Amino acid sequence: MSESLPVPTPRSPDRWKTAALVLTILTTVFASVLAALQTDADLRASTADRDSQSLAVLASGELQRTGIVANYEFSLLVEIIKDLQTGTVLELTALEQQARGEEGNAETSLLLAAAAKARSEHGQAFSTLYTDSRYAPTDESAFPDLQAYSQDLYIRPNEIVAQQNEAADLYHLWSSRADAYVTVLTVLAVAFFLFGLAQTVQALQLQRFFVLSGTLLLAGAILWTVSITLG
Amino acid sequence: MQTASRFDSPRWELATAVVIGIVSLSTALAVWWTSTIASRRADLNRQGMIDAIKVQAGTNEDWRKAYEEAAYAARYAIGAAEAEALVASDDPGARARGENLKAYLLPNLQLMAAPLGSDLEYALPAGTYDIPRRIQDLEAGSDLAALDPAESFATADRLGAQQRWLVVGSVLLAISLFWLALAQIGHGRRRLLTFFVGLGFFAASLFYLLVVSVVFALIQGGAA
Repeated sequence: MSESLPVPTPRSPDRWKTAALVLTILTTVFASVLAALQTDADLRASTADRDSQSLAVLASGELQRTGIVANYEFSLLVEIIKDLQTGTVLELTALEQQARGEEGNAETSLLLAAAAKARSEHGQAFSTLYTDSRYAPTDESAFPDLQAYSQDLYIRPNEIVAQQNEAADLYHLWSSRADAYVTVLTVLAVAFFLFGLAQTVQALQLQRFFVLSGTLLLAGAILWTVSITLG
Repeated sequence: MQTASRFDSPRWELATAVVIGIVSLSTALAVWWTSTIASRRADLNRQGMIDAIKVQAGTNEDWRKAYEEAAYAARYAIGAAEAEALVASDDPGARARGENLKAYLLPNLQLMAAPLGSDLEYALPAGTYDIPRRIQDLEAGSDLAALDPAESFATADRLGAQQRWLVVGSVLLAISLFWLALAQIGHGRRRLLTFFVGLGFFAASLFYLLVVSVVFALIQGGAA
């Protein structure tokens, strides 16, 4: 009588194939989510790019208009100062002429001085530098505050340029994210390939190798995606 | 065993293949729809950008013209003040010079400053001119006033949001297609399970796409 030897229970030969199937499904779902994230990042990058460009156009226009206004104001200021100084010079000339006893010439000089001063005084009414209390001279001998005026003149263009820079930074952020997502998708394609091979080959060792390699890539891709999204 | 063979019958395979065909077609249509939305969005962004450039160029020209008139108007007013000073003097020569300035030079300067320097609606009580109002009138009279780049950008943003949600619908359809493909290559009860999971995803995708289209049609006033 011979005792029969216990037959070892074979481990499920399809275990690695089933694992490969489940992992393929997981990879598909993850790839779908990643594709949606990539599209979202791409859309955000595109919107930020457009905002950056339109703000650059706006800043350019604003700068040009600032230049037009500044040109008007400074041309007027030059005229005002020139007329003021002409008036003063003519008054000095009249004094010299009076000292020499040239009364007629002195009267003409005083008349011309009065006309020049009238031009200067009337011109001030048209100048922001003389009518706006922020820049107007505090007394007759002082000049307008040109530094304050120049600073205020560029406030709006500088604000737009700051917004434009923010939009450009946002574009770079989302664009690099979108590119990184595409790279992760490429890694997932390799994982897909490995899981597919695991389902095709017959040797258990090879099945295990492909499943483990694919899992490693899938895990790396998930971690990478989390890092991109949170970074 | 009987159950397994029933699900492995050619009829099941045919049914799965037909459903895969329908889902593939739906996926293609969803991707095409998403693509048309993306294309319209890109067109609107491009149009908005062109309009923004046109509007800025037009506004710059309006400002240039208004300030050119303002410079002439200021010269006219300053010249008028000088002429008045000369006319008010006791010297007959100066008076004659002032009168001649008023008669010959000032009208020409006023013509160059028109309409800012001549139209009473732009005159301010201080003897100066309402330049902002002149700019407003110039902008209102321009053909470019009708252009609204912000509106184009806002519509493009709405289409972008729609595109984002449609992509999710396409993803759902792709998942459905994947499960149905599993049903096609699977066997027995697993085939039945994967088939219905795929079918469920397909139904959910269609419902989702319907909801997205209705919501965006309402938001965009039927523009979807």
